[in-house]
Amino acid sequence: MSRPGRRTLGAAALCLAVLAVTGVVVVRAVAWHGSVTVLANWTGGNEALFREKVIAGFESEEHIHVLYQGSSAVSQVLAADAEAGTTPDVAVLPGPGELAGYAHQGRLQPLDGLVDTADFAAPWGSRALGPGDTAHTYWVPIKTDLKSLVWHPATMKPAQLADAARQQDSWCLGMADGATSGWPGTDWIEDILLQQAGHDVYQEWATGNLEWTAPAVRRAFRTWGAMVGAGDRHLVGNAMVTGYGDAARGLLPGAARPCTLEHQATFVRTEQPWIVTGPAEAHSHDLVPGAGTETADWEVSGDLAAMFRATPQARKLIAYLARPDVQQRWSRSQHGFTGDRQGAGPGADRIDQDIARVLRDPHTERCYDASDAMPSAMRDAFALAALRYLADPGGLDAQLDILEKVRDRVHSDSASGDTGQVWLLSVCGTG
Amino acid sequence: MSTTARELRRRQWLLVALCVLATLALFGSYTGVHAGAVPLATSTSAGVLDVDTAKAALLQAQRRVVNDVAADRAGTGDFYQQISTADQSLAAAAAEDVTGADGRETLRTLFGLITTYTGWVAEADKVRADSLEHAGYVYYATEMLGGKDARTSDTSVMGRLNALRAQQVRTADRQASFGWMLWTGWTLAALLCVLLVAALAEAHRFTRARFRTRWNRQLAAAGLLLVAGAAVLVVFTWQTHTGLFHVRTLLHGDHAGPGIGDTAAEIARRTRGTGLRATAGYGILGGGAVLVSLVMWGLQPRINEYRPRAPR
Repeated sequence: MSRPGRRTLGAAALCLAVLAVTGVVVVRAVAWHGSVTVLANWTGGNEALFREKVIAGFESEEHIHVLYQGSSAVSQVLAADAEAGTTPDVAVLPGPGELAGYAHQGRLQPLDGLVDTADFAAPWGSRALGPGDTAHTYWVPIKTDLKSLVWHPATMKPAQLADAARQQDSWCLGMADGATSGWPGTDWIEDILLQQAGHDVYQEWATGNLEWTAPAVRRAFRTWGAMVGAGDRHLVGNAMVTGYGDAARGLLPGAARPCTLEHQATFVRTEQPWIVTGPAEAHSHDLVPGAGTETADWEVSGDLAAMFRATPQARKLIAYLARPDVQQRWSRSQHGFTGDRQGAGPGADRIDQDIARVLRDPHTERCYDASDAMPSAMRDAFALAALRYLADPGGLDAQLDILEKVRDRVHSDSASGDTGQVWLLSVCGTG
Repeated sequence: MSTTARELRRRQWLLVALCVLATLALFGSYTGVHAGAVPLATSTSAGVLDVDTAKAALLQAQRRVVNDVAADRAGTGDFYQQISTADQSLAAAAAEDVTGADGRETLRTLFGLITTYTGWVAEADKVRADSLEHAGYVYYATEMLGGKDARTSDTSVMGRLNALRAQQVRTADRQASFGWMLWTGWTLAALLCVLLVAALAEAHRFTRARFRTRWNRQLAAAGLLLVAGAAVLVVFTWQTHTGLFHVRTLLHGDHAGPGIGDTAAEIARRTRGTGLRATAGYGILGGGAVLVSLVMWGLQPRINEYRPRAPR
């Protein structure tokens, strides 16, 4: 038997080398590269959408498992996780105020280099102070919403709209939302303050530099109370135990508590009662009694993703979430809008186009939802005060005093720097 | 080498090979059944009952909230005692760690939700029972807690607990199942044991015929050890599997109040001795080694008789 020649041995070695390289490439391409834990407030159908529109694409591209946990009490869960030192890698919260606290405590990882704030319109692309009071990018907005809107049936004429706005029982109001019940009330009050006092006063107040007992704040509370009938056993009794998502059921024929107007963010236009009725929107500035004549500002909100652990997998997820195409896909599935300048294309219908225009217009003054921008202790106290005022408007002074005490305490905590209660430097902006 | 020596050596190696294969098959099949038995008996069932205890305590707390409305007190001492019980039970469930990372995340969420639920009840307790605020706060608390049979997709506390429990019960099902791999393993083990018994009998018959001895004690002992050992293993496996089947049935049921304690006692009764029986699995390897030794001991001296002597 003859020995194999050099050429045969060379060919065999080459085949083995090619096989080994192919094996390595295939294994690297197919194998999973670790996991990333994510905490957000999407549950039920929204969680399924997030898995379908965002997680599936990320897992398929990066081969990184996403361990998602949705909770309606996301703030409480995150606070407990932070105390226990078991924070998720990435968390999505609606409040920059809460995130600013975590950033100041050094619990958040800077996203500098991963996310360019210049890609996002104001006020979403803001920076926050980390440990040692150095400014960094700590969050990326993955969906934005426009507030300061009053929704009404499209068939309603302007004169009818103005008339309806003066009737307390015209307003569809629902204050319930589990752990965060009361936020529809804070949305009302802060929007009224913005429309009546303008963005400078609003910013002073939302950044902790205006007393809760100031006349502008008191006036906003009272205006809201007068508009929706604070203290009215029938109206308020119903509103207190109605979920914010069910408030517009009063639009449907045969409703026990009929209503025609709803002060709510952009997402509400896709709720069933509004789809049945056919929605149209008005700027709340046009309907709030005593709104200022010089400015017509807009309140906005958003979902912000932040990184608690700078693992390679978490960094990849943040970079993925910041991508314009991912932003667009997720925002559309949520009937919201992306804050990314590149991702914000023209809307599907007139309402979408109007909203997108306000969200992108570089000359429009947009202010972040004040309660979302406040430190969590202040936000929670504000939501509770809104509920208490709605039920018992006679106790307004006492409520404002309590809020003022909380503001003082938050300022003291903020000065000590270790409680995660800090005020943002600004909440309004153009561009 | 003579024909007899060759025949003896062939039988020796066949018996050794069958001993090793039968031992491995029995060991794999036996530990396969008991691998799930120990965690099911010690942690999974405890985790499920911890969740049941938390559910029962929270529902009892909610009954307090509703009943105390009339007395103008929403959050009484008993309410907080029930919340404390629920917290402790969930902490115990977390320690059992039945469902891994997913379960741990769910439990963290549950702690947050229960804190918020308790907060709303505390707010209700601060205001008059006939006030609008009280109605609102009790409503928020009730909505957050959810109903006893809340769907697993529900975001309420009960929905989360039901989802966690369903996940734990799925783990219990997996641990108690006698799947196709175990059926294949046991079939293979049984086949190998039968072959080994037959091979031992044939080897015994061969040595008796060739060497005119009534008994090859070592081969007879190996046969007895194999039959007795396999019988013990089958009985142990049957006991464990029957226990697991009952535990699984018990965990699928709905438990509340004293029923939880009764179920825990029944599970303890059904799984008594599971740990000891699981440890017996290591005896299979020892038994296998003894079998091989007996075979060698029984045949090697006869083979040696045919070994050619070195010339002087």
